[in-house]
Amino acid sequence: MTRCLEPLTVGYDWEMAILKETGENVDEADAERLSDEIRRRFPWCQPGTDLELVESRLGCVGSFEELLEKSELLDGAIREAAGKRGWALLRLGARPFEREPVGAHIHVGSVSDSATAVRIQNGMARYAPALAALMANSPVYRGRTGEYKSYRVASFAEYCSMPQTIAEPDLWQQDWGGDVCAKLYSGSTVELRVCDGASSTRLMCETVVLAAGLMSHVAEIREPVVPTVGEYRDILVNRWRAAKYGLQAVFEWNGGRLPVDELLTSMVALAQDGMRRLGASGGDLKTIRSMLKKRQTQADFQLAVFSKESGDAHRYTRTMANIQRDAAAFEKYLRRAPALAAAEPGDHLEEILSSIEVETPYPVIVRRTPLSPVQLDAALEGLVRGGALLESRSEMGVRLYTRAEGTPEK
Amino acid sequence: MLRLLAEVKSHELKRRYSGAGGLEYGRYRVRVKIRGSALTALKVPDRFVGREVTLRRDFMMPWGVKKGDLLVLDQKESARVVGTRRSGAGEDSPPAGRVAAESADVNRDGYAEDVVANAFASAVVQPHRGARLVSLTDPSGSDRFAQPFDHTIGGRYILLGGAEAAIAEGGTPGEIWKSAFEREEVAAGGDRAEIAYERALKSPEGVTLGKVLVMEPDLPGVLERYSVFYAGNKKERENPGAEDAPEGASGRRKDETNVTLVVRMTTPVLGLDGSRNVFDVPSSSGIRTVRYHRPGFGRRWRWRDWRDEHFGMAGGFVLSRHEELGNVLAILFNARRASHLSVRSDYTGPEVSILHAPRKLRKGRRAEFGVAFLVGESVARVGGSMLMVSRGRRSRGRIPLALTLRTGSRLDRVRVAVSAGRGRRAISLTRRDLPEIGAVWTRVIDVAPGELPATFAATVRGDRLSVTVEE
Repeated sequence: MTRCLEPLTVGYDWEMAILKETGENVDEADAERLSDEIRRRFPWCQPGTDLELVESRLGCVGSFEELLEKSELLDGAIREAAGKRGWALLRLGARPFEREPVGAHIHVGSVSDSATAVRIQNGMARYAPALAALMANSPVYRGRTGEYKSYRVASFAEYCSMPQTIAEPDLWQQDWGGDVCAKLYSGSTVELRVCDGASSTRLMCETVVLAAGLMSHVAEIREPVVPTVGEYRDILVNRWRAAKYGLQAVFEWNGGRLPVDELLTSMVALAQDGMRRLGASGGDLKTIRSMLKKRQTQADFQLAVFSKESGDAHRYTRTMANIQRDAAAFEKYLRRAPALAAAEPGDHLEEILSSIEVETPYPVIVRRTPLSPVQLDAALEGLVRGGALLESRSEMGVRLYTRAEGTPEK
Repeated sequence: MLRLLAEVKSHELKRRYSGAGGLEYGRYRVRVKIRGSALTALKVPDRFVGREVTLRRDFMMPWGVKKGDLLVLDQKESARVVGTRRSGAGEDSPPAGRVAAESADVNRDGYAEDVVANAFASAVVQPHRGARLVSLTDPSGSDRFAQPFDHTIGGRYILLGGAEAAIAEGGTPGEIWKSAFEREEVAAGGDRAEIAYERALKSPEGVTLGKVLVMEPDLPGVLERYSVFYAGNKKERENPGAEDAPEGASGRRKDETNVTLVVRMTTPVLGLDGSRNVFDVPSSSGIRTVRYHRPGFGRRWRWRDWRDEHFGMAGGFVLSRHEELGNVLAILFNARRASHLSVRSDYTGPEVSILHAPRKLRKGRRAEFGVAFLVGESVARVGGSMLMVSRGRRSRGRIPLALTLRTGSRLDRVRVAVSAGRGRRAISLTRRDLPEIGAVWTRVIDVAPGELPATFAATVRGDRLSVTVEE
């Protein structure tokens, strides 16, 4: 039988920041000039820009070896091109004091029929939160810190990586911006958008082949994969825990609880066949295995550096750019870092409550909730019934919620 | 909010130690040379460039500091380079009936701010940052403006906060917010402080923006009078009549430009629950109260118009206040000259902008606009009217209270019933015509502490306004 992803190909558009000496991002025009230079040097790649971020775009690649080789070439070239202009490369999931998170988007192909692409999109939904946990790398975001290891995932990448809708193939419309997206309108790939921008080339390449192996596995399950309402709720709660705890997260899984490092280990096993098609094996995932062993993420590295930076995001950005001159900084950190314990999961309802103050409109809450809108409605109803919230209506009929202890005086 | 960029000249590893989780850090003594501002848009005075200072910094190992490395100094480190803080006039507010004015670097950014104060309020203006009114506090020190210092548009704009002016035709975000204005002190305190600021803009070409800040003893805040002057475009100035065009009646192109003055304000969050911050916007159908809701996360597309709530106006004022604490900021302006009010409640701190109607200016012509910023302790608002009471600094055992009434209705006189302690009396407010703003009714009285709480009540066109000042 012909495989669904045939040939199995990978690529990425990996966003990264280029900083001026001051630690501020270069202008969009400067980022474009730098991309032009890289394209001229390596005609096989297609780097470009997204606003003032550089997107390292690899083109279509058919093996892990080629992926690593080309990625390292590109990394070196970007560093060189930036360095000769006095700029620095900053590879994080969010610039610490500037707008817009920074993502690493992974493309897996080749898929040419819509039904298969949607089936992969649906099937990847339950695995995407684990990949988000693995790649958490935005614990300092717009000057904020302390709440999440991935503010980017928590903030839905400012609406560029939303928890995905589960699609019925016959009722599906091409869309954009979900954690996993069938991208037949722009090519022949399924795109994984949920990962934070990576700090390490090695980790990026390992995650690409892991994602490709998983998609290959999911694609070969030739029946529609549609989660139940309960399973979908677990996916969303897991996504929130991934953002909050990174690899210390404990997921809801098959009716029980499972530490995400154990889930990822089993995902590596599921991905073996696909990875083999790319010339890789579980043994090649050296950085990922070290991370799982210690439950350490790039976000933990950032937090350990940030702890000495007086809480100042500007100061920290320049320091981190200095550290990232060492292309293998994250791997070196991993060797030194302690093992972390799995974290007792917090209550996502607290997250909902924390977004509510006085007469907070529903649209404000729904933009922050880890749950789906219908699940949120049920949760709010429960909180109202339990006396934690008061519900009222605006003159336009919008639901307003007030925490019971904060009821305004009439 | 100063941050300096520095280059490492030398360093000494003082000791290595184990931090959290056994991670190794090094404590360094680092000698650095200042290269300039770490914020491209915000310059620092040249005198700091080249200065050398010693820092104590901890770095995770093995990524210790190296000679030639660039470092960004945080605010505290940067302020040390600038030097010690001098006291500003606002820290010692003058007695009732007097105004104090001083030029001092109160925020240690290397530039002198203008500080003006009376018994009711203290205001700080930054001539080097678009002559913005960055801070307006009452005698308790509560600031009516926030200073978010948020970066947007790829670092090309930093939301510095306070009240800043913009000319919409100058582009987004324009140059005014970060530009140094020429400054001239017209009156230096005593019974009046008046400071004039001016800058010729690059865009729109030929336009000069002026602003005069005034503080008087009995007004619980400041008046700002904006003046937009169009000198004509350069080509026309250098070679008048060179370009013929059919538009003008005489067959020559009219040398004119459009200007839309915007006053953008970041009003405070006080570090408290955001949704206790509200705006009161008067309209023809009464006062509409808009509650600020802190967004969960940042959002893109800051400058898109559809992100704002737009309001038409009546009454010529808008109030920003904390629902429980009072802490009122009354913003007075000429409603007929304003196009609309824009309220943004999805950003760091509530934000309100007055957008004036576009004005077409011919060469050599000037347009003027006025805005008053007044602080109050409590306020009553009904229909298109408001009555605010401001508490001044206690002096000689008496507490000055300033009453301010603003309304969209034409009035011949305003009487206020005062109930203070056991006494009841009626007083008249005095009409003042604020330049480019219009009529406001005011009065300053003083009370003994034992006369509080006091209640003040007035009726405007059948609407009863009643406001109480607590002990």
